[in-house]
Amino acid sequence: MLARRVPAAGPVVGVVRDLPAHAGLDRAVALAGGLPGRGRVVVLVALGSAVHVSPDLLHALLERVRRARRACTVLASVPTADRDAGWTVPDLALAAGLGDEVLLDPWQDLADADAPASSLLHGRTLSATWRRAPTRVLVGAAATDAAQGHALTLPVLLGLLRPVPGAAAGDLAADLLRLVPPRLVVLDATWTSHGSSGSTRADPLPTATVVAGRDPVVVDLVGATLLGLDPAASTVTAGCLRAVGTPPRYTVDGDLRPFTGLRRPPEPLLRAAGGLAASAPALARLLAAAATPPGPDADPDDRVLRALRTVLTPLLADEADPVRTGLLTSVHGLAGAAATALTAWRTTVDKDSLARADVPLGLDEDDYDPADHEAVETEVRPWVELARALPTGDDGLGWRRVDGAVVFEVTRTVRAPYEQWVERVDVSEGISLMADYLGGRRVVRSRDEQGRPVHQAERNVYLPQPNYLALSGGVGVDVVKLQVVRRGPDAVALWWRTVASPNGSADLDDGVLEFSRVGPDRTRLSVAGRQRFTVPLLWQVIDLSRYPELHDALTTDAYRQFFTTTFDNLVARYEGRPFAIGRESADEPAGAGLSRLVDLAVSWLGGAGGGPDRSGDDEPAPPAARRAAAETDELGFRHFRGGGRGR
Amino acid sequence: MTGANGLVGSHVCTALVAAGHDVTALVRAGSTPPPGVASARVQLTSESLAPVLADVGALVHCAAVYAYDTDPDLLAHVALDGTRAVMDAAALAGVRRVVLTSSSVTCGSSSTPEPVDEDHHPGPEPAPAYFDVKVRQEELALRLGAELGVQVVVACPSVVLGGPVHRLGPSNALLARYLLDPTRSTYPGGCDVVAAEDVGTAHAVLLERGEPGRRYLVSGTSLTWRELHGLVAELAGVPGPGAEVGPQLSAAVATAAGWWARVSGTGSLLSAEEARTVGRFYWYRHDRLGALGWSPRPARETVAVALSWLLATDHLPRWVRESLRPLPEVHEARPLRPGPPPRAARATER
Repeated sequence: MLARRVPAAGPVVGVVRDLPAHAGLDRAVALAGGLPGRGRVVVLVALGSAVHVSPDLLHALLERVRRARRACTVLASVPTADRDAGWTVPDLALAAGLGDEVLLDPWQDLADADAPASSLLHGRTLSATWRRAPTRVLVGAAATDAAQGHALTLPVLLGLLRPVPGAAAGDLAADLLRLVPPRLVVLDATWTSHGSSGSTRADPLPTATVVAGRDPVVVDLVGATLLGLDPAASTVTAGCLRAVGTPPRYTVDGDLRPFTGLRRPPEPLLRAAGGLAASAPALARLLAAAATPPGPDADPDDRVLRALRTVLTPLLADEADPVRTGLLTSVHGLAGAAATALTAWRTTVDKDSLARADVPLGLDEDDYDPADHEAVETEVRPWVELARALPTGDDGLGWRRVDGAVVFEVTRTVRAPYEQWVERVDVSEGISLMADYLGGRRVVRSRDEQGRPVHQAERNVYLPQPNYLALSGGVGVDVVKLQVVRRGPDAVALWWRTVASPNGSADLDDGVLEFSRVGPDRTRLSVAGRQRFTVPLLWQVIDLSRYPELHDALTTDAYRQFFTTTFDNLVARYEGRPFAIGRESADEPAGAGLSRLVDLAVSWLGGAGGGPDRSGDDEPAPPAARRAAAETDELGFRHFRGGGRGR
Repeated sequence: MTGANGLVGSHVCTALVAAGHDVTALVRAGSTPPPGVASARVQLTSESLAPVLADVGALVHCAAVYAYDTDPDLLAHVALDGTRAVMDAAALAGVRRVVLTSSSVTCGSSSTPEPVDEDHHPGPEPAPAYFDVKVRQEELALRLGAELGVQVVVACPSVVLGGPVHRLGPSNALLARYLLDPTRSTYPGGCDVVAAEDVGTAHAVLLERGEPGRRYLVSGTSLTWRELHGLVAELAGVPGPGAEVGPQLSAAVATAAGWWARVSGTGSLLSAEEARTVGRFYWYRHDRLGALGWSPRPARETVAVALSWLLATDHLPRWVRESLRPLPEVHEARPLRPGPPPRAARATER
């Protein structure tokens, strides 16, 4: 587990205003304690079509590094929307006036992140240059953002690796902070791209400010304050605050008054776009790409983006027009509402189309030692004994309420010999085999002599339970558990106790999954436990406890359905059949289905996307000719796009 | 035997092996042979079959196309040309006995709830092409047997329920159809259901003790459609059955089901041909086979086993499977088939 280094005296964040970029940077970095470390410096800079580090500030930083006689490498973090819109690092560098600098694309040297098992980055790749850097410096540029409120330094880290399907940006940024933290962070606010979404549509406001510090979370807190925005409006910042936090002590040296004249995203747009980003990340990504002017190497045949640009570009053209802004808000709001409704539909009748979730473990392993795992059985057993004493119905389910929690046991006997069963169904995986499991992370903390898990920590994400709660705003279950596995000659059991619920979906979720021998050719499956889940607001208002018969019937039905499917999943695992719900999120702007849908709509509307091309080109070149111009002409000369020396 | 990969054939194969016979499964090129028995890839032509039938004492001919609203020429080709090829090859190779898997529909049906026996024949009632082809197949096999000096015993199973369910045939589709029907409707008339495992055992009995030239109904329990659907509902934990849908409305439903099947690219659960059989009683007596010592299991157990197999497939959409509340006897109805042991995949570790 990587620890965050905290200077004994507390770090200083320097805020320097109203100085030229060169002087501002020097002073801010000096306030922050100067250039840290020794050896090569790797600088990760924000480089987007709308927002990028200013050439003056970058030159000043590189000059400072060179004066310290240290080698330097510059990596360019390109926002996903720009990559989706066809921008490359050389094109962006040229457009940003950084063509004379060598800017490397982090995606060109991806290597194993070598991250711990509890991390989202485990098994994934990120820029090897950044990973191995002796000293890392992060430079962000200030901008507003329609969905996140602001985009400062933390989102720049996300450019170090390819998008991780199913993962929340905040979780990813937090894991990057833990694994490959920068030692110096600079926020370039010499200019701030403001408006509804300064991060995708450049609208520079001179703000003449440089912020520097050791901790990007604190720097972004300061930056958000300067923009007059709620820091936690950004899910990236909120995720890092939650998972990593800030140093226990720090000092801000400088003027924190918000910038004057800065236009912020209207609150309704922020809610609508933020809601869309949360409910339909793929669609939000597509809209962001469509809101971004296309790069020189953009695919001219992308009818989807062209069609969407036809709709979005006029709405983004004049922010002073409240009608356009209202329409833009409506587009996001309607899309978000449709996506939410679609998700609710899929949760109930089309679970195989849901995107699976990828999450970090969600707890600090150093907070729990083997004794905590051993104690799980002791703590949970009294409830399990109570559950096992309950009368059961013909379906093998028995339950009752205790202090608002459901104490239950459910069993099934299968016609499978016990030895064959435990060979094929690993009880230590049992939670991930349950019904409606969307994803999670399991970390084995100790094993027995035969290499079988004994102590585990696990995070599980499930669909809302019961599923129909999704129709009334119910959120999925997200719980983190400590576990211990017990093995005997005639039974194996996985005991768990929930220690955290990152989304507040559960107060209690403790129990045991057991496989036990029943004669020569049968195995008994049982799950017992105690659960108390958070009920959506609508159902809190209804308060089913006032209707005990209905409440009990719904509870019985919910448990019966969930565990019937759970046992069916275990049987499917035994028989080697697929059973998991969901699909791996496709790493593409919108997925084939959505592209086909938009393509269909474009065709049906008579090629609406083929109207005036507002991408910035004077004339849309025929696709073949444009591609040919980038390759080989009739004389056999191969043409390469010039400008910049970035790879 | 032929057709060892089918629902009936797989159980025939198992029963023959259990009875101590040395079984070779004849399969089509490209098919996966059944595990645990010898196999040979053949085509249903006498030239392809004759060489592999040398030193074979008996042949069980299960291979067939069991489908409705299918090209009648295809049905006829497999049933008639294939049977002719089998009989010719058997005669050439000196095979002593052939057991032909026919169908109970060759004994016709009744307009009243009275079971019929082997001496009954189809009347003028509407019948799908499949029924006609099976009648012709039986007649052909018995005639050729007499001509060629090969003993032919005909097995006539009724609605065979059970698994494993790879392709959803018309028989198991009867259960799936009810579970997919939101109205939980039923039909007038009835059918006879028999367990696939019992049909397999019946073939073994007929191979050993069946009288040449005779037909044997392999039937289980005769039920009205309402009784069958009620059994399915009870075992699956769903409501119903509700209203009774007559022949005209069944035909309309079949048309709609066919349209939806074309739109969705799935198979139709109710064909127009099947709809025409609504209202008749396809009830049978198995006294003749019973006299040889064979007896079927109860209908409840038959349906429970079939449901258990059906729930282990994707023939029912996930949301339908998850809406069911099967009784414990469904879960315990069949022994589980273990998959391969997993490779040792270690979870992520610190």
